[in-house]
Amino acid sequence: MYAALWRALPGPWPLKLVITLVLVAAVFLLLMEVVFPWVTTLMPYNDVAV
Amino acid sequence: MSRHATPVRSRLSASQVLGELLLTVGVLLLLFAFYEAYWTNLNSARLQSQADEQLAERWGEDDSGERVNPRQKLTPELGEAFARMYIPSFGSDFQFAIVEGTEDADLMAGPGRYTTTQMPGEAGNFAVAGHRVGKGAPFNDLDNLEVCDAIVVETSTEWVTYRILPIDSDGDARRAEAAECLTPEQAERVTTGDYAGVLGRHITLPGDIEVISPVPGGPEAAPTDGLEGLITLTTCHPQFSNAERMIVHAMEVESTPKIPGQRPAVLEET
Repeated sequence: MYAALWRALPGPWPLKLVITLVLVAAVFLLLMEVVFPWVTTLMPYNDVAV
Repeated sequence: MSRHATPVRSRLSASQVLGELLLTVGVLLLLFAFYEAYWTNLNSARLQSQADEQLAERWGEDDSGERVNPRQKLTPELGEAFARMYIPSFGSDFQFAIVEGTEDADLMAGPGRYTTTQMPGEAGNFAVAGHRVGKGAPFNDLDNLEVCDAIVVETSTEWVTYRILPIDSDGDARRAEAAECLTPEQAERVTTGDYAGVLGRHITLPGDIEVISPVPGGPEAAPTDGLEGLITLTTCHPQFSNAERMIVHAMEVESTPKIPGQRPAVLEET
């Protein structure tokens, strides 16, 4: 699956590497700033008030 | 031997995709653990530090030279820091700016005051909620508090010292423990009087809002005359669960006016 994605990227491998790193960074930030904050509200250990 | 110029087409096999998906899920779970254990703590540290700076500015602790009008608004706005708490037995660097409110957004910055309860230094119950895991985890170690440990709250005008009430003793043993750090009148109220049922630390269910009443366990009405000053801390229990709540109660034993440049001796206790 990831091999096929790699092949789908344009350019020689240094360019593919750069694009991959940018995509990974984007996904990481999306997770940390958007997805995980939402998931956290579903988690039980956040309820601390009576 | 010449090769046929047929392009090699690799077929994605189902097991390969499944394997890679499982690996991806595993990485996502690890990233979530990293998020909870590290990322939120970074974010909350930043928010707490901002809250503390706001406080320092309002109290004239920086060198701006402006003396702030000491007559503060009666009630801080939601999210606004209005006091600091210290727990000397957790170390000299254990301190948090307390913000107003107990919504998720408020608690991201640090411990937050239940808005229906009293203020520090007032008769009644100053109740504060805080995260146990993640988001700075200010209340992670509350289960390590012992009877008579100090919780010190700094407001714009005074230092208020509270002492943890007896936790699991009864009768004479409870009186003896209380007498170690409370006044004789307080020790009596804690043993046989209106605070006899107030435990230094106990576990209860969510929704047990009587723990934040002016006298914990009593009605939520406005505080009557002659009440002691209490601080109540609430957090979740067991550590990663919301099934229960851990409640800590401490009674005010001392209140000294703030003198610039001086810190009360109680902060150096171990």
